[in-house]
Amino acid sequence: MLELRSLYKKFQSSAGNGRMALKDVSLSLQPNDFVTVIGSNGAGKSTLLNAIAGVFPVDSGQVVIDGQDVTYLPEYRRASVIGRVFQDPMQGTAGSMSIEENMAMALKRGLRRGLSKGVSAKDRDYFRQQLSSLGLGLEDRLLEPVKLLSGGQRQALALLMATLSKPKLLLLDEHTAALDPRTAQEIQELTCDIVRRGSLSVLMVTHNLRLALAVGTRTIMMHEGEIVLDVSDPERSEMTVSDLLERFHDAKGERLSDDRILLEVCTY
Amino acid sequence: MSSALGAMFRVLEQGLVYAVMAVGVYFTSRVLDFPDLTVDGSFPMGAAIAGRLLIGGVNPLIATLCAPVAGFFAGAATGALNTKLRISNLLAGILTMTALYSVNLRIMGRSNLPLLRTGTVLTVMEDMGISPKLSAFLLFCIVIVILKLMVDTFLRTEFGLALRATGDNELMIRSLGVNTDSMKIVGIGIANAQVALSGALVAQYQGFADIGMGVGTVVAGLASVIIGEAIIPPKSVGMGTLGAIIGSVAYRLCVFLALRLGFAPTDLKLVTALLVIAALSGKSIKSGIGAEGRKASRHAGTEISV
Repeated sequence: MLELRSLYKKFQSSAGNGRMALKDVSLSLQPNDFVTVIGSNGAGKSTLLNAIAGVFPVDSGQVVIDGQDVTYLPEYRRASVIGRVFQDPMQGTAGSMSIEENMAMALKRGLRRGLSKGVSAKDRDYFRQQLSSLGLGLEDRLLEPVKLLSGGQRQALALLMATLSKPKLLLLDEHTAALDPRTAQEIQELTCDIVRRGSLSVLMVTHNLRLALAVGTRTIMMHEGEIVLDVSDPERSEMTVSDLLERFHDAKGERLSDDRILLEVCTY
Repeated sequence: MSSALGAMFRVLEQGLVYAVMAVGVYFTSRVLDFPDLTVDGSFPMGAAIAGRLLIGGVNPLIATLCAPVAGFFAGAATGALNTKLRISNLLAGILTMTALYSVNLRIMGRSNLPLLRTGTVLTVMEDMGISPKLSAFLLFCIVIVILKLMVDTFLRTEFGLALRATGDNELMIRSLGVNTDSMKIVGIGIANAQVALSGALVAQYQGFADIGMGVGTVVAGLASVIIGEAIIPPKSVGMGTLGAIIGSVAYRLCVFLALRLGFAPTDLKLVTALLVIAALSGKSIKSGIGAEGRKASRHAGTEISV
């Protein structure tokens, strides 16, 4: 499904000495794999997702999606197979446009956009039906501009839009981190629902270690641009957060340099 | 009394013919969120092309329709400079505008082309038996209504939605598979096609094309858009274009009143700039910039109420 072969990416800093954001990252995802990605700040989690989506070119290595080498394709040409939800709910939707217009754009993911009507009557029925599955009452507000929605509603809509046209790969970059705890939980449940319904592979970045183990089928941990840990079910299903940290310690041979991770566990 | 009515009628005509340009400025500034200065060059380019072709004896309708084609390429050039060569949006527009000055002189052959003795779209109207008093008003009404309907419909197509999203949230629409660079190039092209069409019509209306007639076009267009937004809140695309049209008429009315109040025609650019500054600073108080911003805008407000 997704095949990453030895990705390298270095970001140049203004001082001249660059920072290795991705170091020899290889990863293989099967259809229906739901991988949670954890790691401290600057570990390369978002860089990994951006490299897959094609936001910037990698320095070396290969990105293969569904048998097609997309390493040199620009972001907009990979979009037909990749759905994304960002951390900021504002980023996943166009605020000045209506709910139905946003969904119509998502329905046309990766397709040619011509001069036929942007939103057809048939689309509208489909949108209504999809929106009602969110249980937020948005199906009665098709014509309202998205900027009138709350952050949680916008993120739910963004999630629906990301999966509306059945992409093969869903990239979630801490998509619940900017929401209040209750809304975050609702969006998380919604995510699991949507993933269960469609057959697609998921990469979900999260700071919440407990959540990382609780959802999905596989967990990878990144540290300084490398994947330092990769566990799948059934082994993973028996792991606890402290096991995870223990494994991290074993892998790196260093005492948790990142108390940050621990702290973040406590805050959840 | 009838002279006052006649003057108001002329204000209305001007408002409508410049509204074609204002809708173009609405397109770039509001839909694409792109501050496009190409306009100051594409407006006289439309006039130059139509003027030159009319003098060459080309059918007025064809001469007029050549202007938007050229305008499209001028706008697309600015879009390409910005997206492909990564030149900032303002500078890209300034570069095209500057280059167009020479291009326009080349097209015209000199700095002013009188069109009083050539056939124009207005004389075509008159040949059809429409009274010369009404021909300009009727023609501009037809043009602006067709243009508005076309723009509104276009912005609701699949392509139009992607174009609006490019102005609203580039990151998101790119993640949905849209090449935002192409969107900007085409979008700025379409806007400048409208501006050039307006230039072609204005030249025929006033009876000459002049190399200097583009100066301040973008500011006048922005003023129209801003006034329009104050009159009609732009809750939808249709309201936005309608606002630009009504704003254009209202702006020409402001210009007319300023002249009546004794401003010299040469002062009008200053008046327009102050009008735009006042409107923009009014916006910044609304968004709560603080005591200092409030003070500044009060000053601007008094200047404008002169």
